[in-house]
Amino acid sequence: MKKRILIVNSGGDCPGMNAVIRAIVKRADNDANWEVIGSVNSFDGILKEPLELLRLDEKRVRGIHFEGGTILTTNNKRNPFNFPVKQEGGAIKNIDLSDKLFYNIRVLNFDAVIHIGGNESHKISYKLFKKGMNIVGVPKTINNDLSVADYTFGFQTAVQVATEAVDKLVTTANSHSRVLILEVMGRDAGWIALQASIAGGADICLIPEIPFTMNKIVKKLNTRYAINKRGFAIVVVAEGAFLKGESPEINHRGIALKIAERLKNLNFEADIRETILGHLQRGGTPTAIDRILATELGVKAFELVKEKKFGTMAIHHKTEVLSIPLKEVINKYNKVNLSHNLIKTAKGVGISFGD
Amino acid sequence: MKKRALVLTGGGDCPGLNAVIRGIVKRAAQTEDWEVVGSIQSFDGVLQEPTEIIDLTEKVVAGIHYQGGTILGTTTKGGPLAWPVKENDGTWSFVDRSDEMIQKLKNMGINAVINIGGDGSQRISQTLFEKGLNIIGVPKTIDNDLSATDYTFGYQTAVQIATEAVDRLVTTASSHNRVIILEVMGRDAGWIALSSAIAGGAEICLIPEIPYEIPKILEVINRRIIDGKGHVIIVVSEGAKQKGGEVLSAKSDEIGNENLKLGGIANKLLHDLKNAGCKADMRETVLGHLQRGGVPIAFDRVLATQFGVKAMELAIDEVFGKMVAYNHPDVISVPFLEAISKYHYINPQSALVKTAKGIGMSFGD
Repeated sequence: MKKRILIVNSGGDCPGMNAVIRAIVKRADNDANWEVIGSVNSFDGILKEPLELLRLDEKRVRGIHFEGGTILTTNNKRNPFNFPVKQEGGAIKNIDLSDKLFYNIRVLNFDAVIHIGGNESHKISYKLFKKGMNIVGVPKTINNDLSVADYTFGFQTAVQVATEAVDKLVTTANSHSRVLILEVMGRDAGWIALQASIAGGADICLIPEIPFTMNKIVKKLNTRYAINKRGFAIVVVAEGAFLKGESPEINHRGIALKIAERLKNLNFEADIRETILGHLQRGGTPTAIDRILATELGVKAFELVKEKKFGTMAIHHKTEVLSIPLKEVINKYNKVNLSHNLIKTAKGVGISFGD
Repeated sequence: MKKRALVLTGGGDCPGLNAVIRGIVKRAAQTEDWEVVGSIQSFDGVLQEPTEIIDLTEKVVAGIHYQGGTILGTTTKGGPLAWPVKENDGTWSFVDRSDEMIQKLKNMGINAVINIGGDGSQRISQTLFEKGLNIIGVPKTIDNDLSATDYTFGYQTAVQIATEAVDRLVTTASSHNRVIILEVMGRDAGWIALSSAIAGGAEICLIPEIPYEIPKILEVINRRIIDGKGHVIIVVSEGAKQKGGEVLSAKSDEIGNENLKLGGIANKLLHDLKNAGCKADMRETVLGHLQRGGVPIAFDRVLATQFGVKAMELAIDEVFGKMVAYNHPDVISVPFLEAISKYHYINPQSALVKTAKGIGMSFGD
């Protein structure tokens, strides 16, 4: 009998997830002894009655690497240790289904689980590993906020999407002498905002790592409107950016609107408009970079399973793909370090951080 | 009087050159005492009479970072060390005008020169540096073949373009059950071919580092196309060669261009496969200069801007004789000699090659 791998993906989707799935399947297909099954909608597929599992053979994964999203569908509320179960009467109660998960995995003869997910998902991976599961992790974060990996797939696609948005906003802002505020993803880390600001040529970049003040924003904007009051400005703001002295939590979602409102209250004369990029950053075809990163991680994850190196995660370090214990991954976020070269570059081309 | 930096671009163009120029100018604009000028068409702008030098102000560089090419123009020919001169009998000879040029730059009040160019250009930089010129290099190679830097700008844009070509070829190849061969850039290193083959999902990838054998390629085609059904995508670097064979090339007919013109490998491969008995319908696409054109992707714009800012900072700090380089996540500077001494070839043991083999890709070896 062939050995069996179960693929589970969790958390928000991210361009490149399908390329990871395809690579695992194609790598397994190169080996006579292995077959791959996918659990639909995170841990739902392996925990719910009836089960919802998908046989993943080479034919099934053909051509999926250039599709965004995930053919398995995903969910960020399917923690097997705290699983939402509908009670009689319709109420939802969260219960620990981890024993059931282990039981199902045993009776279905799965030899290993590959879990594709973000920081929260891999806290679960580590708990499952400690409980005895043969599990290998693949990192997935659109925010580039995993400190142990040099690069993660999905991020460059998001940066590309945000940069193209800046390109488009520049021409309309210029034509109407407007201030355009673009809100991008980045709850705790401002990587997307920072890179899109440099690549697109924004004037102001606001990130969670650097609290801003309205005075400094107005000061920078005034330099852009110094001649004949004609000019334009592009502000890129991470969704998690916040005003100096305020709590970061209250700003999640709508920070672009809040800045526009405050500028109006300060009687800033120019016309102001906002764009919130939202889930456009997660959709569409992954860029070549992300497809390559994802394919490398998929192949590596299979090899970690084959070598029985469980409790680890495949990661990129420089130009190599390595493995690192899950224990070292969790609870470490990769925030923008204020001495990072990208900050120096941004300041070098005159981008203001509103500080 | 303000200090002056002179910027020039040399060698083949590459998406991101304008973002470097803009990075330099915007960084200089943050200072009180620097201004930037540009020499048109590499060193030609300085050497010609009358000279062709333009002021690079913030206004001139506004918005150029998303244009491909270079606003300064470029050339792969000539240069101060081998300036072509037409003799009376119609033949060409080459003269060294470097001393004259260095004097000219001094007279023009140039305090620093920033040379954006490939390994050929940086070799010229080193010679000029040895002669006393205050010069800084910015690496430019679409082939990603410099070992001193993790990445060079323009390369990822080329990979993106080649990958999108594979995406398109897949749908037509599968509709017609064809073998389609895509020829991409890569003279000595197969980075563009290998990366786009993985990203696009090609079945066969032929690169200069791994010589191929026709029977091995035929084997893969025959496994994929059964009873006329199936398709195969082959991505081949222009510099790929058959085991024991030679690279296809021709001496350039442009005066002063020492580079060999590569190309034609896709067509040769198609005929070799046919002669070896390949029954499948085959077509070829040569991507050519599409790989150098168009808007640079975000990754390359970010990298190019980092290079530009760093190069200007080296000028401000009076650090000369060095080239900027990316060493993740930092931008560093390395001596010219170190920068041009080693090529960056694909290591057959690298993660990228393992990945390709892992998903069943053949290198024809």
